[in-house]
Amino acid sequence: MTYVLVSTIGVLIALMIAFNGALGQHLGVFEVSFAVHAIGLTVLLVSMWIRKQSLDIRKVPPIFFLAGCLGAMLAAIDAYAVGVLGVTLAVALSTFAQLLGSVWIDGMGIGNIKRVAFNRYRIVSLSVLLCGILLMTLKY
Amino acid sequence: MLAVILAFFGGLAIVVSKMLNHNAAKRFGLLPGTLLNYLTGTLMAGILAFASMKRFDYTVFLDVPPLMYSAGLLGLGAMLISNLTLNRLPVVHSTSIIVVTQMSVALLLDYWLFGIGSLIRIVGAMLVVIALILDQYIIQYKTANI
Repeated sequence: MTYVLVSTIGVLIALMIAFNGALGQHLGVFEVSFAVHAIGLTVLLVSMWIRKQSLDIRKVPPIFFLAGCLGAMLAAIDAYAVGVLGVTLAVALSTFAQLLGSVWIDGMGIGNIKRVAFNRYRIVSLSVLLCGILLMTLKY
Repeated sequence: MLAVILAFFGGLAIVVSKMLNHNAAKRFGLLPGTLLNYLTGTLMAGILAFASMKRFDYTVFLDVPPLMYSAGLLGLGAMLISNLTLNRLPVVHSTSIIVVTQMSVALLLDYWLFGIGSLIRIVGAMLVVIALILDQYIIQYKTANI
């Protein structure tokens, strides 16, 4: 079930990136970012109101505000990059960077994430994976 | 070139953002943690949008086909599921699975929307799948021997 849910994330993100790019044809990149965040915020506020949940902003450590700032920039990047590169190449480049980042996080075991020691044999599999991604981008 | 660099750094930012969102969800709860992200994102993007506008004109938002705004809901859905499942798999696995589905859907979108498709891309997708199976095998059966 976890694998199905995680797979759904990929589908949703690909569609989101495509729609962000399409929105970028009509709006400025930061306007796109504002629109998609405002819609998500509205849905969340309604959901929390129904479930009677709240959040005291004053008790939030400053580091947690970084994720929202990164999110604002990411939506703007999608709106710009998809318009220039297309969906596949934008996703492939993002994927390549995510892979490097995730291998590092797995090795460090930051926070509550299960630590996975880096195995030198994995250089082979990761290289094949990157070759696959690069092959898919050859069209461009 | 700027788009290539931005797309790459965007990918790195996703990993950091994913970690922070997961920890926020764990600390404040799934919805409040996600709300924190969207609240900050809306304020940040709003300030940048306002600063980059030559003149404020809210009607530009009304000229866009409504379906395109579903990007906001898709991103929210992805974040909620991500926060729910992140701890259940090693990050490299969850990221790899997301890679496969993302690339597959991106290929389909390019084919359906723009008529782009080639054998070399399908081969590339197969290589990714083979690499993932190989990677899981290495983690499960080889790590203990090192």
